[in-house]
Amino acid sequence: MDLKERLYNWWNERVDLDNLLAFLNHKTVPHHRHSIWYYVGGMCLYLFIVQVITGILLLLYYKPTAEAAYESVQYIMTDVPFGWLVRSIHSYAANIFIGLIFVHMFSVFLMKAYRKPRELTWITGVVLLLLAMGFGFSGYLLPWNQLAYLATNVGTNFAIMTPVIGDWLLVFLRGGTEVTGATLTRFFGFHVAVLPGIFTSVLGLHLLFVQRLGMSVPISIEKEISDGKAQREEMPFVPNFLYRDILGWTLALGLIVLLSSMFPWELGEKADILTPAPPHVKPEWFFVFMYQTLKYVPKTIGVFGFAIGGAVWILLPFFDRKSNRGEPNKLYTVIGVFVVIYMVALTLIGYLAPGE
Amino acid sequence: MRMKLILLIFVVAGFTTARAKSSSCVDCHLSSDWVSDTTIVSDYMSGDIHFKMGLSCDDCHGGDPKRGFEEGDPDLAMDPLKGYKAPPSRTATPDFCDRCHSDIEYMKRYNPRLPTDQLKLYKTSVHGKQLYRTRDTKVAVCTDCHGVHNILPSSDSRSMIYHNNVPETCRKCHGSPQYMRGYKYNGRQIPTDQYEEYSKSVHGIMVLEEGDNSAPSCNNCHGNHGATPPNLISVSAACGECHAYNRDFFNASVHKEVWEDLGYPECEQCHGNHLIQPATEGLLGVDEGALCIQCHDEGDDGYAAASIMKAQIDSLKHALESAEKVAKEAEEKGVEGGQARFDLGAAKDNLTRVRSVIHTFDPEQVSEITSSGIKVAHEVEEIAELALGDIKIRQIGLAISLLVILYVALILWRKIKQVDSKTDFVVRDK
Amino acid sequence: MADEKIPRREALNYLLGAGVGALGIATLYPVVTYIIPPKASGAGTSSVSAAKVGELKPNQGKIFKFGNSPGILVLKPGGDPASALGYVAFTAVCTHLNCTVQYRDDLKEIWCACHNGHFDLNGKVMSGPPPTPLQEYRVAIKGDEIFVSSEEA
Repeated sequence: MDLKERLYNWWNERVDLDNLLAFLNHKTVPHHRHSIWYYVGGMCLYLFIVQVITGILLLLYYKPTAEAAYESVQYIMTDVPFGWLVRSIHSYAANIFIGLIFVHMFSVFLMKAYRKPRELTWITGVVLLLLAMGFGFSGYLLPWNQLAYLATNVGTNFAIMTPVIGDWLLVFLRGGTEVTGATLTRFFGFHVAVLPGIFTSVLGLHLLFVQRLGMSVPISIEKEISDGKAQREEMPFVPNFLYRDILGWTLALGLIVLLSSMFPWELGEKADILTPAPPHVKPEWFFVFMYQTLKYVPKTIGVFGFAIGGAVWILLPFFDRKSNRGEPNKLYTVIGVFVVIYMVALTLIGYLAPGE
Repeated sequence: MRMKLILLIFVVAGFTTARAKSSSCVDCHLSSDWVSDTTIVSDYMSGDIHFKMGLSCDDCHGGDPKRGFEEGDPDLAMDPLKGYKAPPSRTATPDFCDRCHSDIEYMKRYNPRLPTDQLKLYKTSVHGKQLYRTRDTKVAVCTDCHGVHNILPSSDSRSMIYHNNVPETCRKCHGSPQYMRGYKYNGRQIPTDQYEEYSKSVHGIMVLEEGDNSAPSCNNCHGNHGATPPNLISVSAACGECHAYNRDFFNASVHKEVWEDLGYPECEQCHGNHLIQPATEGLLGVDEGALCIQCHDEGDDGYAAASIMKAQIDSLKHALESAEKVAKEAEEKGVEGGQARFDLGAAKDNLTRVRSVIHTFDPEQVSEITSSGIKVAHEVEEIAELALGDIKIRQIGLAISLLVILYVALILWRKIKQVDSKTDFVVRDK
Repeated sequence: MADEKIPRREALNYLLGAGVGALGIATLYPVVTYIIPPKASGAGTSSVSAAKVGELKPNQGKIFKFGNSPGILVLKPGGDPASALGYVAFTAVCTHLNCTVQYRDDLKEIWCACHNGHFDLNGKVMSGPPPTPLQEYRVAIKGDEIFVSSEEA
């Protein structure tokens, strides 16, 4: 027996590798003209892992106080070898991560993959998006630069709209009535302890559901198969699908490294609590569509609108009876397309509109 | 009001037990049965420095208040034979105060650091000369600036002679055209707009608006007891009290002698007096608004020197601005950790220094400072540029890693083709 | 056909293995060098290592970077180089017009070249235009490093 075999046996006797390999060898993924969208979820998972690794690396030098945060990030970027790379990767990957979660969500929505029996996968998925936005919001403040400071001021201010507990929520988020060093320390806690804990648990559930139920095949493809117009095709997960995943991840790494090296994420100016906020402060891009909406509708109505809209969005699988029966539902497709157009349009207006 | 009264009674009670013989003045002068004005006592006891030092009425006014009180006869208390001195006339006031204030031994007991030559100085001042020579009682005597029975030390911010209150005190007379009518200096009517001008000057704004007592008040240039305007060749001495380097440079410069010959009042010739404004580089050079061209014409040495020095300072400022900009950009881009801007501090020092050295009016000395500042600024800019250019070194690393990544991707692609070619995707019915 | 394919497949596997190996090194290299802390002491705003013990002789001063502004460390004349008590440290920013001050060993004073401001070794203004004293820093010695901190002593 050579070493490889002995190692395998040692592990096999303890964790039943035979069973695992058999499972992996039999795992397949549906193969059809829309199956490219299946890779987006895997890409998100990969980016999350990139965030965990680079995040841990940043933790080695970062100091979460108003006095030292900016200087410590500056130190990481200028004195620590490859610190600029680690920090830039963390920033770029974070934004791509959130962007791809949106893409993942809308592809799932438009293919009606949320329909019975995958309602729970959908719900956990939307929760993961909200948590990822929480990561983005809390992480943005950590370098303690002026832009982030002002954006956080504006962002946390919306908490006050919450009925009954608004004031309390504001103080909870800010660690006081104003955005100060206390807010920074608090956001740091959210960003590296609270959110990762919750995110990992929900992610575990999400992946468990995906695994238990397999990938959803779009209704149109199912119909073609049942009509005999197409054959049912499955791709082995190992190695065909996995190789494609890895190819995607490798290219993604290349893209992020390219961006990080050519355009290192900027540090900006250190936050100065005493500077009054300029009028054109913008939150991070993934909040802009909401922020922009609130310029056109009364704040209270807008905030409640988004709260109710978000709740309905999460519970959509329970309303879409037609898709649950396996019938095409044009109305929901229209709703999905409308939401995408609305978000893209308002984001663009937010960035391009003159005088904004 | 009642509180004050109780306090007063309390103070008076303490006072009477401590110095029994003095109590008698107070007893009558506090009572409207005896005197019409009872405020002298309360004024005096509410904080006059002499009261705080334990001096009482008879220490200045003499007399025998104890006997006068016991026998109920004010004339006994205020008996000139017993040394009683009535409130002095204006002309007698300086000598009245001088009885104690020139007595070194006596003053040592109360305030060892206080000078004792005030009267001597006063007699040299314009005020003193007027008073003693022409018996002009309109000029300032001790009490006009110090008060009478409410004299506060100059360190007390309520005092008329507290640094920041001096301009207001002088203004009482010097700001009034009626009062000053007829008073001449060097044959010309003394103006009355000094306060107005001073209040708009760099010094006046600091003292009057910002309450900064490090800037000069009237007496810092004109003296106080020996108040007299600085003459033509002592202006730089007055200004040099604070602007020491500027004084030294000026006195060693070519202008010193020329100024004397021309009868120019030194610093004042360029900077003005009461309305003095913050000096800028605009005063230098040969452009419009520059002062040098008031005397120097194109073609003379001074004209050339002025334009050279202006150019040198301008290029230092320009180098500083440019370096600052690049350093800031490098810092905000996160490629440079603030060392560049820190190093720039040395060049900024040179700009501050040259603004003083300019009073040598010597292009060589000026250029020594500016060129070393420009050198530092250029070095800093270079370092910052290099840091910004560091991205190029990163790009080499990037190129290598991208090659590896693309290579792996290519092989993976081949691998996918390979495994796909051996896979049948179609699901056959079982 | 089949005989040809097996070597090609193995060749691809080797190429892939080599590529993944290179990629692994390309990833691990930055990570490992990142983890090793650089020599310069970590970013700190309230305390900084200003000098090494023995670097200064008695009656000698040194300018150091304290955050983004200069500080000055002086080993007093007759001061013990090994004891924190032998040193004094202040901000090196003159309180007059923000020039950087320096130590004058001939005068045993801190001096500002811009306008001839003199400070004694307590930071107090002795002469010249500076309106206020230099802010004093706390000095402590840890191992062979002299730390200066802006905290109240």
